[in-house]
Amino acid sequence: MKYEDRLSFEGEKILKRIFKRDKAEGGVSVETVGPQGSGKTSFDLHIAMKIMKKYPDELIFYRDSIESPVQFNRIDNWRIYAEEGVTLKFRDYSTNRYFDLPVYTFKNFDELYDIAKPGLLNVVYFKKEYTWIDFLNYLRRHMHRGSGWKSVFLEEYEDISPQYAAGTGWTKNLIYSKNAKNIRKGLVSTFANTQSKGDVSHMVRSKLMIHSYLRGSTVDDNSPIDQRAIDKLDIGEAMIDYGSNFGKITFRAFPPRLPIFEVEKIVAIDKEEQDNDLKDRKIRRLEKKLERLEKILEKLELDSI
Amino acid sequence: MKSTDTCISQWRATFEDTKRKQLLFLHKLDELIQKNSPIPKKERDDFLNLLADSTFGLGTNEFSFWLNDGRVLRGNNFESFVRSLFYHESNTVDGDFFFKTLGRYKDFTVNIGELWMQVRNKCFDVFPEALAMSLRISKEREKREHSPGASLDEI
Repeated sequence: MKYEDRLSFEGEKILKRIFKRDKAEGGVSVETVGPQGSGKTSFDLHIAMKIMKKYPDELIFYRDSIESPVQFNRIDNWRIYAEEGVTLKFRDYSTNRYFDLPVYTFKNFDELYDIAKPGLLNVVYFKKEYTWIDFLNYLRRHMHRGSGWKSVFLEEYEDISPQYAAGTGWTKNLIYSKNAKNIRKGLVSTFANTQSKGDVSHMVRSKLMIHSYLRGSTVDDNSPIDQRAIDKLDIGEAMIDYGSNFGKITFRAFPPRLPIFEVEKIVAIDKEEQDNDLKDRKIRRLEKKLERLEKILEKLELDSI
Repeated sequence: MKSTDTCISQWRATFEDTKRKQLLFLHKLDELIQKNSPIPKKERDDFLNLLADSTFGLGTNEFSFWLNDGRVLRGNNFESFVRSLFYHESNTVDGDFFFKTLGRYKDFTVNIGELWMQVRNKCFDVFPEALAMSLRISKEREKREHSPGASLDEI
């Protein structure tokens, strides 16, 4: 046994499961919870680096938050992709000027899947954040590139499936929660991180397999980990649970690299889409009115009898 | 102040330390019982330290010493009573004893050796609690619970 204590031993077992590529078992879904500065991004980038080294055939997609310093430049290999209709602007914080970076554009998921390069971090910007849910669904049904395995890193995934979502957002959350098990079977590993567990939809969270808690986070009620164990953690340490097993892991910090810059996303308004939305709304309103009128008519008929 | 035992180097007592202190305290009490004598002034500090280290202040509950001739000595705080005994300077102790045979309190004098024996018996109640506490607070336990964690680099 490599580690003498049980916590480290179990931690190693869970880490090995994360890096295991067995088609019978499928991928994993890992959630990392921790407040600002606790090392969520370092933890995720570490895993991404490991995957790049271990499985160079694997496609790695990365979702970064916008209008905040980018995180993906902490590692060497990355490429930026933007959906057609999305213009990306890169602003350097130190000079307050815009600069250019190569951006690959794609029309649809098929094109993105074809142009994405294995062995590096494919940073993708979609028009709408919840498109990631559709993309995960797409990935689970496509395995024709490389080894077939895919890893998706979702930075601040409360933007994708927020707890208080309404309308389309809520529907997308439902789709995500229903497809979570299939995503895993489709050789897709998802690594999502969030600052607070309360920000993310409960429908989605309950479907995730592995939860890792960093320093300062609040543990789930149904987790086998005790809150006191998390309170004792230092930066660079995490408690990780997988079902009823749990262990402790350590990871190095990934310091931010210069220049510190942010991505500004400008989305072109699609007039056709807008018109369709408006038409839909009008139709819905008219349908409701019709329903009401029918009810009134029924009543009137009954009264006359 | 001279320490009774130089083995204790940690600021937090371990299980072994506590056990050793308790044995030492019992041996010293045995000596006092044999001699039927009070504690000499020079050793008072040592005894106070020994009491604190071996009981962790857990013997603060009520006590009743059952002495010969149906005398019963009752008190509210065992540790404070023992500490007051450490400051006693004569071989006999005058006290207000409850006489079980009479059914009332009466002034009486008792040999200090007899009281030391009762103190020793009461210590048998307190010592296991102190040992359990030493297990909880000892550094060894903390070390055992500390886990380095599996390293992501070495997977």
